[in-house]
Amino acid sequence: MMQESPSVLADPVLGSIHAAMTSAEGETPVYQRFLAVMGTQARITTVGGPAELPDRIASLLGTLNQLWSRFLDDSEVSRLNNSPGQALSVSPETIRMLIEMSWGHSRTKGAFDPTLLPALLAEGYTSSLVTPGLDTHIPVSSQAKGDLSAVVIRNSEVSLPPGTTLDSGGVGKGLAADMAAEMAMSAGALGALVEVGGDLRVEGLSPRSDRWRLAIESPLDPSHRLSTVELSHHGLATSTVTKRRFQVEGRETHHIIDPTTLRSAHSDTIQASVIAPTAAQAEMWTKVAFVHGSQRLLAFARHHGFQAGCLLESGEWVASAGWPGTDA
Amino acid sequence: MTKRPTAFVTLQAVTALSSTAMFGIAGFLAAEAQASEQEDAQVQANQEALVSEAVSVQVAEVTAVQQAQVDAAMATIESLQQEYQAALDEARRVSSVSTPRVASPAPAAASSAAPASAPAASPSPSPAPAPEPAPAPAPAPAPVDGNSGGS
Repeated sequence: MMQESPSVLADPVLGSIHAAMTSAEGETPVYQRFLAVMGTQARITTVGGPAELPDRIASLLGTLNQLWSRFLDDSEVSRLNNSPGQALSVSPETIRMLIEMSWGHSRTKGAFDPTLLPALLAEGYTSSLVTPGLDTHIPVSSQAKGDLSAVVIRNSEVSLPPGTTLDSGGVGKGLAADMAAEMAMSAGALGALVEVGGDLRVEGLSPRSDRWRLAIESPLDPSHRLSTVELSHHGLATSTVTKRRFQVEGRETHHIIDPTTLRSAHSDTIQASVIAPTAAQAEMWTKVAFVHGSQRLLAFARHHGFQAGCLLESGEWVASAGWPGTDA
Repeated sequence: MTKRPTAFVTLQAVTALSSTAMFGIAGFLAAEAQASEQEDAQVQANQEALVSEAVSVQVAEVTAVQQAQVDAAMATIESLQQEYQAALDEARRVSSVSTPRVASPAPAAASSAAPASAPAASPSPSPAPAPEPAPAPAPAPAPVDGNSGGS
């Protein structure tokens, strides 16, 4: 059972904004909510369904943050990281995240690796960027790169092998968007959009009783769209190396780690977007572009049947053959 | 005096009579032809008058229709012109309001207390020329339901 979460209504960072309107037909109510959670901003849009649904979804996002944040010592991820070799009972949500992590690690051939937390800390990302004073604590015995295959899941209990730590950063926001959208549809919504830090999951009908229209922002100018796509039941995730950057010993670093060098990844890509069945999958796929380059991601897209687009260092936008952009 | 034979005299008389008759027929024929020509000319003139009158009536009708169409088109153009002029005036008004705010720097706090002169204002009392209409803004992109930006 999911535990009761603290209300995110009182989020001190951005607060929250509620909005209610009606669909294009003027019959179906549309509810919106904006809030700060998971160190970023979130947007919830529900079409139909109960009026309080966005609040319930916001509560879910807050709960997931409490479970997965590495900046909270009492989160399940932090407790696992600091309990090497011990079996801990965790929530079904965390079990699901571990399964998603395993799927992504396998499918991306290791480009997505959630066991690189010590390397990420070494690259400078040690503290929360939105809540000063929240730091990451891991055992000194942690290795720069862990062994995901050695993580043991038995019913609701999980144990990490000594030296292995987990970071939800590369999948958590997308998975949260997935779970929130699923909650909305289960509660009777006709459509839902959940966006967490630029990772989105859409389901059902948009407020226009049509597909959801989504823009890919340029990291260099958020008012500029790289592409606009229309989706109905997909995940769309975008990752970039232009944000969450740090300075370490005179070297510029960022938050996406190359599992082979254990340093900030460098490739021809500065931003990658993926459209996949779920936002979690999409978020994990994007890492391929930063570790192996845009062409490898596009090759993966062809092989695995998803869509991908990359903004290159040169400023060029390249996308897979079936990219559903509506741009002229 | 020479005495002419009777036959000769007879022949002369016959010839004279024939000539007279022939001249009579020719004159008749000539008069007849002249009358016919005059009649034909009159008929032709009448026909031409009728045709001319009919054409004039028809042209007048067509012209009236065309004029009505032209008048309607001109009315539309004038209406559009008025709307355009109103929009142009509005654009100029907005431009004249917003341009100084955008173009002129904020008055520096350390500057003297003298009132700042109007930016680019001419000392001439003559009215300033109307500013160029503001360029049409780029069409706004279609609204979206969500944004996917890198995090």
